[in-house]
Amino acid sequence: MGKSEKITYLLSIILIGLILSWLILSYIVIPSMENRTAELEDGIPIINERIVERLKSINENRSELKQLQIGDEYHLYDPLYQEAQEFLENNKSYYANETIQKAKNQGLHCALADIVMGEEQFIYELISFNTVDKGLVYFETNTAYPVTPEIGESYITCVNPPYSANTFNDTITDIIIIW
Amino acid sequence: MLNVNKMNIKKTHIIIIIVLIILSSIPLYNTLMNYTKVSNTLTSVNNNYEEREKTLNDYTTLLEETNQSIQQLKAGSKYNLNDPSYNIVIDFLTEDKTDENTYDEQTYNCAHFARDVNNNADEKQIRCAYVYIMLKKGTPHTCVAFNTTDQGLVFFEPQNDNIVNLEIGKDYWSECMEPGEYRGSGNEVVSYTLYW
Repeated sequence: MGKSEKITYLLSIILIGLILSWLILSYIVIPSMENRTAELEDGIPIINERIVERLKSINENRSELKQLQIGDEYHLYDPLYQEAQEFLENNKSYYANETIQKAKNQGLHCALADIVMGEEQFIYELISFNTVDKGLVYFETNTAYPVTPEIGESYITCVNPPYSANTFNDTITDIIIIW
Repeated sequence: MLNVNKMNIKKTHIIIIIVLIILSSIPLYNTLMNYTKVSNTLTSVNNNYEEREKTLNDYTTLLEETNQSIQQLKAGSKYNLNDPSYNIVIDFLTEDKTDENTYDEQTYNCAHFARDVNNNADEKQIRCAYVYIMLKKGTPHTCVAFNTTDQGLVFFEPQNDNIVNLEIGKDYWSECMEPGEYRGSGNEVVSYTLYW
């Protein structure tokens, strides 16, 4: 094959490549992308409609939740764990009796939990809720830390996060729950 | 002569092919431009679609969570409490058998008595307070209270259902409780706290 024939051959291949590229892009790739775009564009209003529906349902649920969470010290209900936690996080009272009173004023059914420790029967007061999703839970009223007290365990290890070592005997001997 | 002609034909071929390449490049360039445009549109629409899909998923999750919360709250207990009349308190205490339990300093002391009366009252929809009393000798004592509709705040000793006229400075057992009984020195009431 001579030099000019090689050049002709090479140029022919380039020409064929260009034509094929054009054909593939024009008749396969671009139409397929356009179809996909159209599909997505058609899907967006449907998703938007569903979003609006969901939002409406969420708002309805929120209203229903509010209704279910209405109460006062004479009309109490067992709260959700998150509700109890949020109440305590916003609680400004240091003392258990004030915290319990506030919770009950908001309709939250809660208890004073006396944690009895050591031979001296030292009492530490917690607030307790019988939550509808996580059952009976305890919290410190001054820190809002959750506590899982167990008879026979050291109190500081039952707090989350645990406290550093105590100088007195804090072994839990009794848990007295007063609703 | 023949060779010259052949050479010319080959050159012409090359020129024709180059011209064809140039000519075909123009629609290809236009197609590429179109491709870029379509590709950008698709990316943008796709991003928009995915964003909305994510929003929809988030809202669906939130909706499921609120549905679950509603079901749980509906299934949870409700407590309606009432401040009782004095007679209702007396009837309740007479019926309630907590006072018949045996006192044990370690396992069933005043706190347990007060707890049981308080919790039993709650079950009967009677609003009752647990009263934590600090005595002069340094040990605490507990009793119960009711905010009666006819006689206001009244205190009772849950170990014997006696009425207690709780007053700071007075001896809890001999002066506050009716009938009183002397249980040694240091039982004067220093302070008290009500837990409703």
